[in-house]
Amino acid sequence: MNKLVNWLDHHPLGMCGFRPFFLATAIYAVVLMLLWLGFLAGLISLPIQIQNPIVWHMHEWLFGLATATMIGFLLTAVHEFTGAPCVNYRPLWLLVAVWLGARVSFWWLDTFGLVTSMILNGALFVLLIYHMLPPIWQRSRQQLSFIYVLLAFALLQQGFFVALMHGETGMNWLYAVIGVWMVLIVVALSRVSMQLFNVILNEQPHLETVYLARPPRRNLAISIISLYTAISFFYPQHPVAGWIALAASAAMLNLLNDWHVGRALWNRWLLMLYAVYWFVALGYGVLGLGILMELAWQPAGHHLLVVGALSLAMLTVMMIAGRQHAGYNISYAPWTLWVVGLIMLAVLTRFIASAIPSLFSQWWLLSSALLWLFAFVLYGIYSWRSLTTSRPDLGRDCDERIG
Amino acid sequence: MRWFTATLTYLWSGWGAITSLLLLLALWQWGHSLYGELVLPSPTATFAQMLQFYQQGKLIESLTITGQRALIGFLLSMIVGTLLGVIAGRYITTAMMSRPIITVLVGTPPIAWLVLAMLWFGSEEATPIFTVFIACFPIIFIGALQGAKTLDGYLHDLAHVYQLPWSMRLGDVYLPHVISYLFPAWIAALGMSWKIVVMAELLATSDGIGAALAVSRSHLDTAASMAWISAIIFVLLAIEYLVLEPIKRHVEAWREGS
Repeated sequence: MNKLVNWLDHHPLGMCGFRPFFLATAIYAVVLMLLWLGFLAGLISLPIQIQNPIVWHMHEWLFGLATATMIGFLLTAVHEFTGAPCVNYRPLWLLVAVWLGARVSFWWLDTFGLVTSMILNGALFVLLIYHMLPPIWQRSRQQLSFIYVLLAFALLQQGFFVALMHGETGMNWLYAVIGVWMVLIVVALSRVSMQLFNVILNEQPHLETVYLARPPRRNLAISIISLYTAISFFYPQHPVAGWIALAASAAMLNLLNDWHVGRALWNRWLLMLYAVYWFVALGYGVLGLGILMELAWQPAGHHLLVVGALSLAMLTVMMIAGRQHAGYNISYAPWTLWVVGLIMLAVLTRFIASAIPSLFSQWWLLSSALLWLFAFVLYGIYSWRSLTTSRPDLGRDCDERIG
Repeated sequence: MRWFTATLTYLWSGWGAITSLLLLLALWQWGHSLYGELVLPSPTATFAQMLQFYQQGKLIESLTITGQRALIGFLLSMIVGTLLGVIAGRYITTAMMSRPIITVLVGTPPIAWLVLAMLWFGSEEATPIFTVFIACFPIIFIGALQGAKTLDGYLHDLAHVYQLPWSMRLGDVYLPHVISYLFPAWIAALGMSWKIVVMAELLATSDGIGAALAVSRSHLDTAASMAWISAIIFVLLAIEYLVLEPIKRHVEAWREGS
């Protein structure tokens, strides 16, 4: 027992929020995809209380996998933005335990029941807000948007569980969650991109470029994505939602104006973040066109948003923040390109499977799942050391690399 | 290469405008859901109708006819208004004299000019052209007058003392100043010419977009009417963002540099 307590209190994995949660992301991506493929192959069954299997797939993807990355990122970012002490070791392990409990309760929903899973999943957000709100409120209120996004996630998830209790599929709640994710991507990547651009521009002063992630365009994109999310929640296939989805796509392309700064953009990390915005734009474009042309493009659009934008954003953030805050330089090793390449191919194959239904659709689906899986496996293998061992520099806990 | 990059950057900045327009289409769609096809056809039905007009050749034909009329009327008022305005602005007496006349011209509603033009020229080509000319003239005239009137006298004397050649005086001293007044006037007049010509055609001619609008109205064909109106707006937006705005930025670049 003492050995375990000692391990929990001192192991480098508990040094900063991103370490256990980024690792959990890599592991859970494999578990989640294998479970899903197992279900599709008829090898395992999903809880009876879930009427539509896609709901299980979506919930765990959005609230299990992506949330793990988000928690890791936010716990690290709050320290970075506010200078507040890191959430680490015991409070961090409690968060990890609640996250794991929430996952287990949802896998075995028939055993634990909806109420238990609802409480555990809700507790995760309450704990996270408990750790984040005081430093943001006291030291940096311009970061409050993160709290609003967390509240939106928490409310939508509770709504989802209530819908399940009423015998509904709860699908519209999860589609709304995708919208909130896209808002978070725009909010979070503007911060990440500003820092990254400045690091890169400092390294190359001859470029004489100025990059500013200005709020007006960002606010426009956030407002329209929120509007689409709200309208499609009540009227998912209404043409009004279709036009607003197209407007959201145009607003994202408009946001790229900030990024067109010439040669400075030709950096693999910046291009990855740039590609994330493109995927958001394409996703909403496909959703809008699908609604207006009365085509079944909704899955294709959603997968562009989730497999494209969200996966790429998660992996990029994990590859950047996961190294910088572990005391390493950003890696330019070939594996980082492989990860992105695999995700790009996964998006393409998933898009083909949804948008062009054919006899081979299941093969496209399987290819997409495996490509996506390998991207996370690759990340897990190459990041294992930086996430689980002590810092090689002079920095402490969540600090950026020093020296 | 720099020109190419600048053009691309400019075109890409158009996404902001496209976003607003798509939101407007969403609002239009909402109106359609509330009031139905007869009162307000949906944007998709309107665009489908417009595509049909294009495939039948009607769209390009009508746009060409209307565009020619608007352009001729506008160019006439641009030449006459600019020349007379600059001359009037150079002398205080002429500036003083022309003021009440311009007030009368500005105050007379374009529809009144149209009625007069119909009486004078009948249902002919000259009616819409004249109406455009007379409606645009005072706007351009005032712009030119203000530009010429506010020319810096010291700069004029300086050019004289240094015996600058005429081409340099015109291109580097007088024109940049006068143009900064003239250009907004030309833009306002061009935007107006397009609206006036459609109105004139609606009442006075048997061809052009205005006439097509009159026919669709008489058939109670709301979708066709909306298609023609949308075509007019598309052209207006294209002229504004692809022609006028780039020229305006180019012409007024010296302001940002100063």
